[in-house]
Amino acid sequence: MISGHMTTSSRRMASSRLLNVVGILALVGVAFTVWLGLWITPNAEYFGNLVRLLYIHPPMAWVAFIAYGMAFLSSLLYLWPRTRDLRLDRLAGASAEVGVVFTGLTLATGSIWGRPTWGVWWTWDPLLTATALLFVLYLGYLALRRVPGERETVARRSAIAALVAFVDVPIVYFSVSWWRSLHQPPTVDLSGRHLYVHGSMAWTLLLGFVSFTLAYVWLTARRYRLAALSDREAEEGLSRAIDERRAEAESFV
Amino acid sequence: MSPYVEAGYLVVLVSLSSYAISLFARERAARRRLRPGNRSEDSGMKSE
Repeated sequence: MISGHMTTSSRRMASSRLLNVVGILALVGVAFTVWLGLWITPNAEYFGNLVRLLYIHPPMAWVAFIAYGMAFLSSLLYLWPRTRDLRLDRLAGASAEVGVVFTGLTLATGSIWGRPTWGVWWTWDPLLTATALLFVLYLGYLALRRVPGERETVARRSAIAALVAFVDVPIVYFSVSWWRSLHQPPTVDLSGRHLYVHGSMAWTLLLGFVSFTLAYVWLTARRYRLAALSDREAEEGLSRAIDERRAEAESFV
Repeated sequence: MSPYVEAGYLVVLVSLSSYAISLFARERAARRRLRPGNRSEDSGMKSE
């Protein structure tokens, strides 16, 4: 029992240490991305100084996709009876929340890019509309998670909602190829393996992708921990309430 | 430097830092509530 407890405790310490390393790497990586992106990389021929927004905008969208992918996968595994585990539900919720933050930042940085290049803060372009819909869908998912109910019921309905919401993710990615769009094609074209930037610009963009992905891992892990604490708090609250009611009933007898 | 570029970086850095700080604060508050000594006085607090 004691050795089991020590193993759990040492495992927790190791995971905390790993999480700290990820956090520090993310912080250093983001700092370097900002430094390279703002002061070291050259201006672009066509976009001039505005090209510097490139080092943050695509990584925001990329991280949002990863976050929703993780929420989708965890929800799928949760719904599968053989792998059903509340930890997967927590992971889905944590990942989706971080995804919403990054989708909000994708929309914000896209809008900041759109004003000087297209002349408008917002337009009902297919990509922008699909991204805004993605944001709203996952906000709805997070709201659904807060609707009271039995823990398992909440987890099951949230998992179904996560699967439904994920349908919009490929629509967002392929919308620039499927419809005529104001938005340029993806900077990193996964299907054709093309990269539309080169040299220090490409390295800075790559560093941006890696750093913000690490930031996603760190934020999701912290959000997961918070969800685990909240679950524990709710469980303890429930057992305390049951004990109190029992004590009340015994005092009447 | 274009003000749009500065605004873009500022929005990203401020938002992510604020979110990270809020997670820290909420985690600390949850841990404090779960500490055995705080149970009775915090019993009315709503869980997250």
